[in-house]
Amino acid sequence: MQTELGGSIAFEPVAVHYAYVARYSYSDIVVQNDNFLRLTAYADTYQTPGSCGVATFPQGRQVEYPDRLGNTVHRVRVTVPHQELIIAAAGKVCLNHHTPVVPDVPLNSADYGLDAQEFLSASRLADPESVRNAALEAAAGATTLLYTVDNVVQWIYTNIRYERGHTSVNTAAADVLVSRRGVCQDQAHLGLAMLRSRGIPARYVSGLLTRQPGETHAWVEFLHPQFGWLPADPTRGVVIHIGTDYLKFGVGRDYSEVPPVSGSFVSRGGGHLDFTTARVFFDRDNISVDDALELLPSGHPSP
Amino acid sequence: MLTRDISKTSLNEHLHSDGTTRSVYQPLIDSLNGLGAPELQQRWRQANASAALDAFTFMLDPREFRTVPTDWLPRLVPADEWETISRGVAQRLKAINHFLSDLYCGDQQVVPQDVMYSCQYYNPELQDHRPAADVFVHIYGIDLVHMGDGRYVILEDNLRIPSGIAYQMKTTEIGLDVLPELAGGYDIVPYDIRSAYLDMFASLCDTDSPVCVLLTDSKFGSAFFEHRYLSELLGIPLVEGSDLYIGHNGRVWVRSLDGDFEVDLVYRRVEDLELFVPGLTQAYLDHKVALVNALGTGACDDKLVFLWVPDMIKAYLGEDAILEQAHSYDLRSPANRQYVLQNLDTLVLKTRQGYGGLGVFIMPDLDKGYRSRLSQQLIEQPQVFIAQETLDFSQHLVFDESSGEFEERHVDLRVFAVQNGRGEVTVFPGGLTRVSEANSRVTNNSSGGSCKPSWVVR
Repeated sequence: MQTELGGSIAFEPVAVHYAYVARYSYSDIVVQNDNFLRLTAYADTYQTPGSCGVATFPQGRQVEYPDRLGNTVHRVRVTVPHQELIIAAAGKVCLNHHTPVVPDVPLNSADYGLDAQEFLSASRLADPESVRNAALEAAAGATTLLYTVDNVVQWIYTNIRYERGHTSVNTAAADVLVSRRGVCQDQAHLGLAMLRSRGIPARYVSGLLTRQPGETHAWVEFLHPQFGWLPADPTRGVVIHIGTDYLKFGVGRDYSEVPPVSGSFVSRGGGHLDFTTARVFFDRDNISVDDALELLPSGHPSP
Repeated sequence: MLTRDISKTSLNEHLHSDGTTRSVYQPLIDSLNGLGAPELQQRWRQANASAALDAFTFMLDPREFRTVPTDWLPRLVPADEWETISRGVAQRLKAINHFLSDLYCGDQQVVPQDVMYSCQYYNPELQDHRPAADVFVHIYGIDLVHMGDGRYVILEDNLRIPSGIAYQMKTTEIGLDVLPELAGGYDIVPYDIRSAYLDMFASLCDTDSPVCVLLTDSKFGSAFFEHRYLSELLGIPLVEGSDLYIGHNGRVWVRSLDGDFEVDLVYRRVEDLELFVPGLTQAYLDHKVALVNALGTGACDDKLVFLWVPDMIKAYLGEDAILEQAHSYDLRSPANRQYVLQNLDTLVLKTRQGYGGLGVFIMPDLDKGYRSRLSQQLIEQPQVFIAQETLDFSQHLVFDESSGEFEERHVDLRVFAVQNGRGEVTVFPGGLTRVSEANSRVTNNSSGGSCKPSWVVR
């Protein structure tokens, strides 16, 4: 094990397999269901994706493309009439256990180029102006990048209670600040707004916690002028050194740009998410979307 | 009467930039002067009454009978200017059709994938499905503005269900009927929409005399006048979604008191087919029925995709675009976002998926509060918008029937074209001139604009 500034501590990479499934139920027949899925492992220094795939039941036609932020998007349009839609994803990822040794630098937003500007300005759910005073308090006088990130992450970890049922996918950072509670997504949004407010470009990350099966997770990334995007998780109080605990699907300016599933359907009725879960396996040799279906309480859907 | 000083910067259609009268407008102006204001007021009332009797409507609210506000003074386009417009429209239609074919059945490299596939009206289920004769765009509507000296600039394309062609015909018809004097001294270039449409329908079907129907959204839809007018003009039944069903043979059938019958072609004036006729998409994919326009054309209605049409012309036809289009900014680019934010007060913002003038924001014409709200929205969700240069396009004389005065209003020109199964394009001379409200540059009828007859004259 050797360390140098700007290098990293080397650990063995870990190959894992993931599976995700969601089931949507509708009160009337759905004739068209058009969904954008961001459920494919993202490629960066922390992880190297192997083969990944998605499927829906009933089946639809798919296209796959990279969006402007490098997320792999599957668009699946189902045109068979249905009252239940299952979305499944599965894939292989090599978690690199990347442990960069990163120098702290003075805070200076001038260090960032034009491309970073959109991660400094307001997005729909994370407006830096709306949390300016709290961000100052959270930063606690820090004048360097890593100290500021650390202080903000710890502030959220300490002050925003993890509690379900009080927020929705449309809850903005400012509301989280007022209610002082929310889920990982809300804590991430507050983190984004606060970091941006301190002049640090920050983006939202959607993915999984590899050792906490059940649901998707959200954390943030901040931009280091020399080392690029680095992770920080306000929900768990972790910065940069995420080990092999995280599996990343995609990034956006906030949740609204990178939801795991988003879309629209044509029906006279309404719909709701009826069941969803995700698992990461450390002990498998392969995986397919059929394995994801096994995670459903009732097993395979009827054909 | 027409000597009133017009002090403004915009070009007026009847004037040269030096203020002298364009020769093409001289006979019209002489006729107007000959008639005089009181007579014109009288004729205007006659024309309006005629429009009301014919239910010449564009309904914004289904509970309210509303005829299309029309200024009966014709807009004149000299034949040589029209020649360029016509060639430019045909070229663009062909290029877009090539592109759609490549998008769904090939491997298009012109428009970036993330732009194309994020487009609301891109339909993955149409992959590898070839429409009859490889024609996607049968009926095309294109919005142009005149910058003066025969320079026309494209603002947008309408490829899903372009509407307005019956309005083009009806304004001209009533106008000539009530004000025949105005045609004096002009040779108006004629067109025949009926034969062009029926020929196009037949060219898409295997039989010589196909059974065609026009599928309307409802009697309460805004463009119902047009649906009714075209069904009468073309001699094809006007049906609602509930009149159609998919038979056991997979074909489309019409319910009728005289016995149900099979349909070869649906001229559809609705977008979400499945909402109106469940199973129609599958019947189309199984080649059991032809659809006009084909499914999937909406991908090129997207305001962002618009930016690449000149590249389509280059790539598929090997030509330069004959008509220029409004300079537009792709806000996926950080440099463009910065430029647009810094210059927002001088630009037009459009939402990618907007239509009918909805989602068009001409920033210089908006108040400060509105501008700052849009600027915030642009920062938060740049991917929703494109930005476009603001054009100071032409104005046209309109006659105010109540005051007996002439005024000026901004006008655009929506031109219609059809493409048949042999790939031949017909552009209908004249188009529909749409007129903005006072102090506005938005001309869409859905946004309160009116229309006027347009003549191509020799």
